[in-house]
Amino acid sequence: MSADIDPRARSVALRPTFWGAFRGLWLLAWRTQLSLRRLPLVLASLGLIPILAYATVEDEATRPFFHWTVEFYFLLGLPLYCLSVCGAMIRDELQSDTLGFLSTRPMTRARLFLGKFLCNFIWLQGLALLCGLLMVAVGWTRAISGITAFALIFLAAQFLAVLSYGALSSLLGLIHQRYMVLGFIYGFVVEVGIGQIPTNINNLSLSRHLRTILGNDRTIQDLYEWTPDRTLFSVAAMLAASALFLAAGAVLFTFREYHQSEEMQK
Amino acid sequence: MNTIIQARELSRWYGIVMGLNNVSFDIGPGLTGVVGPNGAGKSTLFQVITGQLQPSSGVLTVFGERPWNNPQLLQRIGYCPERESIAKELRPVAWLEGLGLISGLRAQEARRRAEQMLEKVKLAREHWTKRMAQFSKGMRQRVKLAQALLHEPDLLILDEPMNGLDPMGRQEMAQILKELAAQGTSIVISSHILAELEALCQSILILNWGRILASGEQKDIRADLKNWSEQLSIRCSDPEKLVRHLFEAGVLVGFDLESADGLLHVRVKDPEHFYGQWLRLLHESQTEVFEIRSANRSLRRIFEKVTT
Repeated sequence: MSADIDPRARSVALRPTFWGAFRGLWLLAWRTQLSLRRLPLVLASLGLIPILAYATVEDEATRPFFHWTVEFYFLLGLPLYCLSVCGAMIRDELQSDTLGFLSTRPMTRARLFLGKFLCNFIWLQGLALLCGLLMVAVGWTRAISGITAFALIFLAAQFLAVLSYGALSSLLGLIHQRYMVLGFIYGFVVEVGIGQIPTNINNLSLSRHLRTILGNDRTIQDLYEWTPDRTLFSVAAMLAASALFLAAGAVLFTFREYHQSEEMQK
Repeated sequence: MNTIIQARELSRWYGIVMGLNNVSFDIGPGLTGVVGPNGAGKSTLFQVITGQLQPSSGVLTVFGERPWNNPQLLQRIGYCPERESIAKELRPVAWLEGLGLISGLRAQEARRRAEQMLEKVKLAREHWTKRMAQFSKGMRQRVKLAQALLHEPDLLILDEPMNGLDPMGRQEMAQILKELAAQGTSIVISSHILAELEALCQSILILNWGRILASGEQKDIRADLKNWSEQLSIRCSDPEKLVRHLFEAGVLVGFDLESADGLLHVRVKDPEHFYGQWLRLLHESQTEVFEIRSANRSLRRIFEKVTT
């Protein structure tokens, strides 16, 4: 006979909420990220590009500075860093076989996914902000013209870039274990390929929207000829894309099974 | 019997590999042991029970509900996985506190419960501030058990929790589980250490190749084994004479002689009938017996019987 057996009277009260769960996930996330094993990597990834930029850019050398900041850091380094952090957010748990500790807690899998993403997003935003400020500091130190005006637009665009690339990466991480490969394929096909086509189809490219947002800066306009036409549309497109990626990730994580044995066999 | 876990024609396969093959069973309150060799389907079963995997076919319910993506039900289940996977970079209190918050405990309560559970599983306080990467296998098992107990579940699913524990640790773990069971927690536990399961669990479920070979209370399973032959080792003054007499009496199905050691191994057809006749047969054979040992009907023996 199957029976609904009433829960025993508890000595502890459980009130599972999204924000409560997020607090727990955040506690685990930052303590893991700041562990001795990971901290050197975090510091290296934070300081590497600003140090290289400072070492190679001469005073008042505007073009080399923006080459480092926009083309290398913003359009290449940042997406790759988002891919490595957010793509790994569930895969890392699977590889170390700790996902079961989280997925057997009283919350839906969609909430777990979104909570994990939020933790990684906040962490990434913090790092990207520090890294971005370091790049701006390099610009000030090297007396780059228009750096102050550029800084605000740059940091705002970076916020959106981390959000959308992070959301995309977390979806790619759920789709396949080799999310880095998927990310490169996506980058070549959509960002490099479709993004350069001079028709409306390039709206599918996130970097095309980022270029539009950065085009609000006069120095960028002069250097790259990126125009700020339909900036609001680009902002809305990036927000919508992020929401879409996250929704797809939440649905995938809800209905697809993830287990360590399968992960290890691949 | 109130059923805590009920499976009906439950199957779970991974591609062409069968994890569970059309199994049906009921698990009631109390302590239940799940026994089976590696690859028998124990971990698959536990993952279905805890909502990490979905059945490929059939139904499994826990407290009358399906576990997949069911947070309400998961409030009532605590799970301790088999592998010694823990967040190695973290310290145990921080890890448990985080998991407690995710389970729905308030911040202060999560911290308090974390410490309380570490005390319950007897992890020495000096280890609370160490990173878990430095922990021995036994210490990790204790922390894993503590995380399963954090939210005071009604049902505990423990996959090989005794692995890596020293004998003292196993005893302590068994004591903790007995106390939990006495307080009303239902526990399903798998282990390779059959003697411990035997002492702990009233009920057992024997799995092999994804199928259930036997399930129910230990005493009932033993009763079902009535027709199995039982092996006795007898050291006596004249083994040949004794075995001839026993054979003529028709109580044996086979024997092995070690005349040099005066040792006789006999396989008895119906142990209950044999023991009823034993003294008379011994007296008639006029043989002096120094020692008699029975490979008793331990869980290990039951397990060997049903899996071979």
